[in-house]
Amino acid sequence: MREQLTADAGVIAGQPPRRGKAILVIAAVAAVGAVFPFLLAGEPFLLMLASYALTAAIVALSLDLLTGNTGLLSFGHAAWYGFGAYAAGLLSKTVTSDIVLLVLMTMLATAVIATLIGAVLVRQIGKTFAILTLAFSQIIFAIVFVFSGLTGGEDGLQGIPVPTFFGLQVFKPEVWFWIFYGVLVISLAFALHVRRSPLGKAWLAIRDNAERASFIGMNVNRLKLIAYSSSATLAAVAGALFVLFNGAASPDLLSWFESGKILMYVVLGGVGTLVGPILGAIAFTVAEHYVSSFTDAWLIYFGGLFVLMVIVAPGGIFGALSGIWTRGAASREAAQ
Amino acid sequence: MNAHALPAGADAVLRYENLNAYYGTSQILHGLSFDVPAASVVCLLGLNGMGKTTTLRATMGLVDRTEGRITLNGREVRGPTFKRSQMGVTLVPEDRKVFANLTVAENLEVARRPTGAADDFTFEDAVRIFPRLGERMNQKSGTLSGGEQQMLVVARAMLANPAYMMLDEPTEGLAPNYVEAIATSIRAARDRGIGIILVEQSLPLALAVGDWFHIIENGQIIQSLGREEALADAQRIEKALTVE
Repeated sequence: MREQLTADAGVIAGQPPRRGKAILVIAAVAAVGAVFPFLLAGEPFLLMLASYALTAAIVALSLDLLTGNTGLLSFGHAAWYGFGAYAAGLLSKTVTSDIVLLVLMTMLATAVIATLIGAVLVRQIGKTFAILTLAFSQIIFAIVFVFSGLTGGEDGLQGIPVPTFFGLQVFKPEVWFWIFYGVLVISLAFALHVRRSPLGKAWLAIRDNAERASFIGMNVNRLKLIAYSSSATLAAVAGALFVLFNGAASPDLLSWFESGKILMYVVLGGVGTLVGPILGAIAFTVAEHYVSSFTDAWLIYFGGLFVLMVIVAPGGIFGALSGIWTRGAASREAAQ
Repeated sequence: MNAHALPAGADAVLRYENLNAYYGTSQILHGLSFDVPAASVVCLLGLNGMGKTTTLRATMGLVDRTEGRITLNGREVRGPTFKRSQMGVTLVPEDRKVFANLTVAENLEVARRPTGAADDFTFEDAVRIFPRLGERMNQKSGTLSGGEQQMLVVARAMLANPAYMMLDEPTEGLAPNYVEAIATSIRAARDRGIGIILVEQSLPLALAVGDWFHIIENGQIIQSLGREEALADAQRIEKALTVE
């Protein structure tokens, strides 16, 4: 009995299931990332599109850390994406061009500010929280225009220098792809690890029933705040990398439209699945590019697709794929 | 004895002193006073709407306003719900809500709060008291039957190792075998030194496990009985719990 229970506790504590399998997965993921840019050799635009899709994937994952884990729905997540972009852009123009330092400084600034703002927001639940996040994102959006001397206002933040990594300039598209890919993989691995940890289980508990969680001594607001700050910080990392890659930041990064897109990535991919929002973001970004090149009315088609997905596949892309996989496995088992 | 700090000279007791509770401008409790000694089961009995559940919710800080004092081993019970829980009091509400997306094992793990005492409740204890849970450890708790979910929420509360546990109608709508399992868990908790408040419509269960009985009417205790008196006068209690 003790062994069985210890094993159960081990699963909860996030211990790796099988080391050999984990190594295989890591090797496969690394190989795909290493080879991908070479598959697109001679297609610099496609490689750039891939990098944009990976940025979207990171920010989608960041929102799922909040919404998927705790059930808190944010209508203003682009605020943190844009905040990271502007913070890294301004720091790169004034402090350093080192990409690692820029990302670390952006993370620190975001974590501090998100904790202060989150401390107020997480005391709210449901619609109130969602509306407050939207209001907050609009305040940040407005600040860009109020301090246009610093931020460039409507023209955006221009003239961001090429970042460096240990003194070497980072400008090759394939290097940027690897950076985005690496950050995404590390972020996903971290998110999956946290999901299996006691913290991740506590998040899921408060998502299911916050009042009951408080009955057994969980500090619900503190747990939500940790989720909110982590989520904001990862979104800011995506923003920071994006602006250093792109060389400019536009106020559009902070807009409610951008927040809506991030939410669509998550819903399209599958809320709470962590992997799903990544798939949703990649699918959305690629489809956005191709569909918008055919018609200006691409949003209408996307809106329709979104409605269809919610009705037909409420679990999103990940839920649909999981269903197909499960049914296939059941069929194979029945055939044996 | 469950290890929650007991200040020098303080009795091991959850004490209600002249408690008034309000929802908005409506006063629900009117000067309620009673003790819940450690290692005892105190049953709150009465018709619906008389203030039994409000007493429990007031203990967890879930009513709009209270007056009077609630003390736990000499320390005032106050602050947000999670702090009251961390002080050593927990509530199992009547609407048996598990963390549906967690497995049975995960439900228990998130609740587990070891105090370091030798007689802390453990996974093994939970499985011994509720063998059905042992068979379902890796099952999503949202897929359990109603009776199994009730066992899980009681087990979850026990693993938090509270000094005092409040159960609000834990057997409502349960099959007899589940009722017996709940009764076993109440006795096991009492034997570990936990003080229990049991709000229960089922008089047989209350009489089977209770040490003290308070009949509440309109937010006030109108009658208090010890175990022997209650057993000798069960018909009178039954009458008090019947709508005429």
